[in-house]
Amino acid sequence: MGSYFKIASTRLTSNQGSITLGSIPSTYKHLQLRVRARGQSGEPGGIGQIVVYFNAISSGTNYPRQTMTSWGSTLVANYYNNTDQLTTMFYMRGGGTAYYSGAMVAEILDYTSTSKYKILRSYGGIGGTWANGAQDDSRAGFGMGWLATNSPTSTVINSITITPDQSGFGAGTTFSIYGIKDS
Amino acid sequence: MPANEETYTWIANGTGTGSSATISFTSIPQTYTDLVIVGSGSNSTQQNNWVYFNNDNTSGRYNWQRMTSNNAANIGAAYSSGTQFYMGSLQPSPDRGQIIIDIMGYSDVTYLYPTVAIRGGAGANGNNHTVLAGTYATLTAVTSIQLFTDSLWNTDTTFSLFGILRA
Repeated sequence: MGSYFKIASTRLTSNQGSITLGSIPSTYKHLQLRVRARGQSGEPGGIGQIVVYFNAISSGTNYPRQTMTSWGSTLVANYYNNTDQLTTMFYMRGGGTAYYSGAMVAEILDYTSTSKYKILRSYGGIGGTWANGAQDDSRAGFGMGWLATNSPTSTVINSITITPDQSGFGAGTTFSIYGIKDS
Repeated sequence: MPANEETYTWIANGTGTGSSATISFTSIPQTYTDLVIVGSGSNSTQQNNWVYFNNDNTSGRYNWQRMTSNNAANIGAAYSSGTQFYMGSLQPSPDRGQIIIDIMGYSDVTYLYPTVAIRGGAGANGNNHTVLAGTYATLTAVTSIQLFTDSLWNTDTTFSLFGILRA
């Protein structure tokens, strides 16, 4: 008996503003997200960010988060206290940088627990082109954030939404959720 | 593909021989969405390690960004557009390190280039522990993978290749 299971996925064939994978069963111990993403066609090149919401909670001050990011020869660490979104991963826009996408893997541990905060930890980024300068085109790093309010300890994660911080996602963007069992 | 079915399927193992700088996976089935390589091992001398695809070392085809640490005070970041992806440095045995490579969209190049995210390195002082994100900038499916070291792969080195399907 294995321990890693497909739950849901979406692969876009045209532009779309956001993606929600809902009705996540509560029968697993942990979740893993795997995301490839690019900005919608017609956008300029450069970096945009992916925003993550749990259970459609997209307002208030629910999500503290910490990131460690590199671009070019620069390393930056940031903490954001109680924002309205988890912005912990990255994607590449379309237009002049067609065919490029971000690659991100994230885990949500104990997503059904009624006694723990729900934490998302991600890593990845985008190896872009140098055409617009590395500071515009490439990122690599870690991110961690959590659902801190809205009854955090009793909130079971049953849907996850990703949305670009501007415009939309482009064709080829793929968002998949997997369940990991512990018994 | 139906949901709630098992995935993350073992495909193959590759092991070091002590006399070769390359461990390869060939004839990779094109039936998965992503690939994951999980490795543990050591180098004959402390050296850097790399991965490339399809025996393709075309300059400018491997665009990547990394951040690296290698002792208490030495952290750094770099961008490269080169001939392979970086995956950290390892020590001679018995100080082994670990490398995990996520390869996304390796068989689906309809809209996007294949992309990678890599975590790798050893804990010993002086080794580069790295996190990298990269793009294999060609609309070519990945059918073989070459794991290359600037020294030799010791016999205590094993890489396992897994395939993941989306729902």
